[in-house]
Amino acid sequence: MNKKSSAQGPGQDAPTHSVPAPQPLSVSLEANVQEISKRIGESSDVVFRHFTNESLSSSPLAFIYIDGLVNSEMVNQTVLQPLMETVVPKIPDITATDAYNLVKDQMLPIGSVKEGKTLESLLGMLFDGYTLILFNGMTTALAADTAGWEKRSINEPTSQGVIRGPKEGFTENLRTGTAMLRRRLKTSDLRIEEYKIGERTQTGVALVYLEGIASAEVLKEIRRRLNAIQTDSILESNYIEEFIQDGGLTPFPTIQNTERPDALAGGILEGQVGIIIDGTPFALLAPSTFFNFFQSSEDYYQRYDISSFLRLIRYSAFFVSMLLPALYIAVTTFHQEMLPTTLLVSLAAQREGVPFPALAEALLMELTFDVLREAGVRMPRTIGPAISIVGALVLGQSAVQAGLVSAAMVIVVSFTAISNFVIPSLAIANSIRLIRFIMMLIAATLGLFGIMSFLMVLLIHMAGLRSFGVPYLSPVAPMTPRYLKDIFIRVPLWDMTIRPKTNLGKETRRQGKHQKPEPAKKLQKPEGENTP
Amino acid sequence: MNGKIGTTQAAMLVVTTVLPTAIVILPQIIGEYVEQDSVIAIIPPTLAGLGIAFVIGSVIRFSNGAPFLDWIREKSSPVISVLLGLLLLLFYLDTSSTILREFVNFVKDNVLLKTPVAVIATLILLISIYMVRKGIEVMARVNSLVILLFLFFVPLYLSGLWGEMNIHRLLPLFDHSAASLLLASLTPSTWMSEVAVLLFLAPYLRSPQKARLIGYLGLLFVSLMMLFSIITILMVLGPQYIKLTTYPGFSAASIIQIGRFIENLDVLFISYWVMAIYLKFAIFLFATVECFKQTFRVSSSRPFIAALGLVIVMECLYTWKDQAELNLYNKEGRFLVFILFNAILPLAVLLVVKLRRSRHKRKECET
Repeated sequence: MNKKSSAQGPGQDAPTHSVPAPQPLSVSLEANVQEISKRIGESSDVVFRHFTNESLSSSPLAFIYIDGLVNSEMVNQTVLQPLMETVVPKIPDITATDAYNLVKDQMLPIGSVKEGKTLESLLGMLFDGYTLILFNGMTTALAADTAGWEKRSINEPTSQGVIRGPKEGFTENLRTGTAMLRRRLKTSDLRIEEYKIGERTQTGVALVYLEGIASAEVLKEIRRRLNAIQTDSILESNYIEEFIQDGGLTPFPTIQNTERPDALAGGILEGQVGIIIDGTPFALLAPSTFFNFFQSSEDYYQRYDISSFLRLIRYSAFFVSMLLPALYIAVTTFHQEMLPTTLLVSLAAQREGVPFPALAEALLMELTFDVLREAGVRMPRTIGPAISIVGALVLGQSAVQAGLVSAAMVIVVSFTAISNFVIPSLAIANSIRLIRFIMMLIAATLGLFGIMSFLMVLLIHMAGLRSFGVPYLSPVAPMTPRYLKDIFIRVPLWDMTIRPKTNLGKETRRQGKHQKPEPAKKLQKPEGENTP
Repeated sequence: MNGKIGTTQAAMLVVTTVLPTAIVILPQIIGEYVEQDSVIAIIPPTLAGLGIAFVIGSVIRFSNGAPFLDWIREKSSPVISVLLGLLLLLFYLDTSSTILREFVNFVKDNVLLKTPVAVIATLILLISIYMVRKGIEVMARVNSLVILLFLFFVPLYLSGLWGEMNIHRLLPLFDHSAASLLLASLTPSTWMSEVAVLLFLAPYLRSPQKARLIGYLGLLFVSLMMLFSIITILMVLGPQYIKLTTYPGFSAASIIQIGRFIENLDVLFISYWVMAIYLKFAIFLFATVECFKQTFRVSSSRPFIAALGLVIVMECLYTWKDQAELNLYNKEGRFLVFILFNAILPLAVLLVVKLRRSRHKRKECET
């Protein structure tokens, strides 16, 4: 996974790296086959096959395909069989060109047949699962799409589950991903632009958006940044994310990722641009504002009142997760007067036997939790229950009984940890995991004043952040009141008549007027076709 | 980095320019002169402030949002603009350092009793420099968020103190002489005159023609909040107690009790106030930097922000070492300086411009 040139930021224009000039095919079949096999080397999965078909030509032809990337049955039925059986009467003086055209136009019962004139383009298609058909005496070769490799079937997304809503998630296959999107957006406005990024991985990257709804400026910028990527490998969407996202050294994500096609479709319908990457089930959505990370697709699948309530809970969880340990430290070390006497006394009694200052205690517990969490992710499934016993009993209960930490601290740390999981986006939940530690250190040195100061710094940082030109805190700062319908709360769908503009593009209507369900009598209006 | 800001955002910046220190320091200063008549003593400063806003707004309208000193250079001569610039720079350095000192004193007295003053001042300065470097657009955004938070604190404050309020503490009205009313309204007027900071925000206004409106809106909101604050403090603490406390607003907030388990909420209000005063200091730092930039005609002010900050922090640490001196300045010296720079200077500029204009017109008519 070495990145040959990872330093190039999106600020640069056309890629400047030296690509060897493409090598055209030679007239001799043998020379071409030799050259291809030289380039690929002694790879056991590449199948070379020579054959002759009297009805086409007396000179030999060749197939090349990669076993495992092609669907063998398909190769046999749609390429080998038609070409090797004599299906046309023998033509006496058939030239190579005639044979080529005959094969191309009449003998390949297969959807996509491409032509290749250079070795590089042919090799590219070979690695995409095409079967190459080379002719003697021709400087072009045919490539039939026979791709069909083993892939995971569509499963329920593991990282973004919902109670109500579609249960299918993206797979590692790019084409499956675009198909799932097409199934949801059956409009001619859906555009899918494909790129190949990564010199060695040649990873397929699809830019998906709705023409007329996604902002043209954002699209231009995303295209520019995608084209500027010079790296030798793209193995996951995070590679793309890091290369194109704004902000440089910010802990906050400015691009969303999702495993759910419905979430991607939802984002695209709101004017975002989706990026699906081959080889990973995680697609990207940009531009994304801070508030996007608190919206879950399930918000729109259940009633608006409960969705609004859950949204508010998520925002509070965000603050709790970021601030609670810091507040605990600040209050117990600097501002004891804030607490009522009884609570203070009980806290003091708990902390009496604890040998550490509040900061050390909090750091210890927070680090322990992060260790547990990491262990939980990496550990083989079968040993799973062991960790919960170790975590819950040994580190929680016993630590308190042994007098190493106070019970209140265990509560604080657990509540912080649980709050962190309430936030639907793992990206933003992770960003505050680190901020929490800084907060704790500041709280221990400067108390509440320090917390407020650091919050101010964070706020300024976020207010200055942009995601592809869209202010990160919009529509709250800068404030656009009519776009607040889906930020802190979610209003009923019939009330969300306009699509919030994410950038300089026009805001567009997404629902008709008067969509609120009302008794039939009230709908006696000129355009009253809707009345039941 | 410096984009343009809208009219509402600018009005909110005016609010933050005046309100954070005013709401904390003024009730006690006014209360000392006129006790329960403090409510009335807000009205003359408001009128004065609106007058100053009119003058400042008119100047900005004449210059159509051009940088103030550049505009003066164009209209008169470079010498005058540099002289004015130096004087204004001095004024803004002074004002910024007093704000910083007030902030530092407050933190030192209430929150961090043992931390050295230099540490607090440097920390505040660093954060404010960061803010100013991000540009006025970002400051305006953060500012609107902080003002929005107000909506959360006002109901908490009101509901918490509802039981403690006694309307009789506002009576008798008009119990003090006109002289003491006038005395009481002098200091608040200096605060209201801070609307003059708009002169240096003008190049960043999206619609500089609405500068007057920005000033009016901002100041009216400030007056309303001051009225609200003084009335509630008076009703809760009574006129005599206000004179004894340094920060009556927070004393009132500390009475708030929710049930029997949440008390001493002043820390919460102080935390909120800290955010607001950060912005206030940043606005003045921004104005100082802007003034420096226009006076010395530097193309990029970024390298100088830290240097100006250093001057401010030095002045804060050494000139205003003594809190009594600062209080005296606030009470007596401030009025002259502020009225001179915030009201008389712009007024003079306005008059000169108007005179010249009418003379021009007359000449045109004659020819």
